[in-house]
Amino acid sequence: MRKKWSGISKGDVISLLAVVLVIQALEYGAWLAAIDGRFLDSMLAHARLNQPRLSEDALYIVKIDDDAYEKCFDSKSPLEPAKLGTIVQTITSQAHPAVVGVDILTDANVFKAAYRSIAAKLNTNNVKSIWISAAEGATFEHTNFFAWLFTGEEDEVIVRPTAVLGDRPAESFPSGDVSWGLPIYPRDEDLKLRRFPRQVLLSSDPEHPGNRQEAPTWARLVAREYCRTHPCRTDDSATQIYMNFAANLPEEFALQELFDCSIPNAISKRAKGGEAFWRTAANRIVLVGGTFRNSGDFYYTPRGRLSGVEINAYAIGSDIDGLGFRAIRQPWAVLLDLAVGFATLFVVSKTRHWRWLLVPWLIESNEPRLSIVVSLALWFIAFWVVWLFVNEYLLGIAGVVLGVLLDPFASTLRKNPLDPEEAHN
Amino acid sequence: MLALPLYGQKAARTIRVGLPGGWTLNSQPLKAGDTYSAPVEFQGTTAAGDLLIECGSAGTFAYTCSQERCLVPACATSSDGVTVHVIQHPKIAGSSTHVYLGMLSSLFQHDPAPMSVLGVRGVGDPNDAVLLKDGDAVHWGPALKGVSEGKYCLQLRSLPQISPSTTVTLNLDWDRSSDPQGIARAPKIVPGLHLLEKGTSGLEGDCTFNSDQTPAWVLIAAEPNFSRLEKAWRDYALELKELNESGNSTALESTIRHAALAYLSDSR
Repeated sequence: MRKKWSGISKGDVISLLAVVLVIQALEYGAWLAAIDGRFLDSMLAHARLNQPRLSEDALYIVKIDDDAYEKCFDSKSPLEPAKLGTIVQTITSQAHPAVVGVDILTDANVFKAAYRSIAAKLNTNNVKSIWISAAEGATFEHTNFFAWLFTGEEDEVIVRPTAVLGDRPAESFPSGDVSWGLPIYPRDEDLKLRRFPRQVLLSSDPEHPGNRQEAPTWARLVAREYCRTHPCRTDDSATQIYMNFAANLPEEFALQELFDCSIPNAISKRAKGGEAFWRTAANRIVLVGGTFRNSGDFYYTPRGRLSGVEINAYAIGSDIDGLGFRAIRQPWAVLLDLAVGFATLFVVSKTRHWRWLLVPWLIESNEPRLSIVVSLALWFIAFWVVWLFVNEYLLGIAGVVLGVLLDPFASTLRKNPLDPEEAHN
Repeated sequence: MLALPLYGQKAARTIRVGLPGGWTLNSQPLKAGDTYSAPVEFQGTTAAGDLLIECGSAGTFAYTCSQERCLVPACATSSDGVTVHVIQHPKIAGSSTHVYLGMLSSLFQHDPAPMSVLGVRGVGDPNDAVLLKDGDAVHWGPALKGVSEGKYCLQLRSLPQISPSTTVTLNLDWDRSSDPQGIARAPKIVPGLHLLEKGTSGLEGDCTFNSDQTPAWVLIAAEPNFSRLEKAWRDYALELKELNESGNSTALESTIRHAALAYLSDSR
């Protein structure tokens, strides 16, 4: 009754489709999060890059650590705007970086006037500073399983940005004179940060569908500003990329190395010290952020626990290099699973007649044992293909592995593999 | 099938030391954040402070030794010469049918990925503290250490959270240079444990809160209780500082702080 094509029966195909559907359902429900996470961590933290990194020496971080938070800001939040303004203005005017990214929120109502006076003095010396906004209200729009599977639709988050430097971003985006962006990152199911979205949907009223606008995220804006004057390999077609955590962290300078906080209520550039920064920061990206313990800005990544400003640095570096893995859309993952599944079935059916090519252990083997060996070999090849061509799409590895392993099992178990006659045929 | 043996198996209980309070195990001083597997017996003396340990779902146990030498099995609810306080963790209410339905539906649930905004939070939030209630006024200063000067509205919800929870809102003009104690009238607030959130007042007197804010726990007490509780809280603070410096997670530190405040509240 079965129609066979190249040794693959109709039943095999139905089993394969069922297995692929089940695997995708598991993926949708985040059942494979742990396996996915392990693989991604391994790849993102150790991937070998085939091209030199353009972002290698592009970034510096000026960090407000515990010491600076205590001595320069009296351990008080929000950070005193006048001092924050002095820091940014001194860096832009004295170090002449390509762009300054300020990773500190400036949405406190109590300092509205002081923030506005910083904004009035910004960008007066041809160095752009880009500030962050937070998400005040957010709405999630779920996508259902079939839309996710067949059209590649993802859940969407629409956010209302908070005030930046004392003023709420205009109702239409992007807003006026202050350059700003949202450093927003989705957490994976294991709560780690790995992905960097290059766009975010903004709205002044996230609950309602109108007036939504796609805007570049903060790290994207910083990278774009840098790329105006420097060579970059940014992959503009990607909406979301995996950050390359295999790179070294940018050089970090403690605020106290560069600024003197010994005079109460004042902060000024140190007369001596910090030369390594002041002499070499020109034409680089300088990020200013907090790494003090109570900043509430630490997250888990494939490189362990990192501060927000460090993760932003990885995102900017990955955007400049364009070497990161790209998140694959689900329809492609389905096709990939099907392709690997068909390849497995094909190889298993062909090797039935070529057992003399395999090791003696397999000559006497039954079909399931052969299936495991072939599946593992295929998975191994797929893994190394991805590893060697890291700038290509990231495979839904966990899905492929399970698909490859389960499909031959399904088909062989259906054929009663424990039947000794079948095993010896 | 796989779940059945796991369900029937009683897991070994892991105990985590919150505040060691000078207690020992086999003559070795306990350290904040240490974990042990039950059964273990801790030793204390009258000179020792309060031992606080986390016993998983059984709750947080506070032991005070009231005789020369005390011996207490971990997570025991009573022991000779030892005063025991158990702080129960809130349980999820509901019938068993709801539990099974919830378990089943969660298998197929697809939750959107939580988003994080990576930036230093610009708004200082209140901290956990013991506050003095003096007549109608409360001294808010100790809970506003990291909060910059300005006009705020404060909202308090009593703990444990009951339905309908008691919520009190008041306005405060915080200026530590003129009033480091941050005294403000709050006649409706009763002594006890409360969740404290800081918001900004709108033009119409409404109070807007930042959704990212984690409420602080404050224990409000009047004299003569306040002096005793405040001293005990300061003693805990020293040990919490050690916990902080030993690199433990902020979540653990926060749990211990809250357990300590709950214990102090129970001991009023």
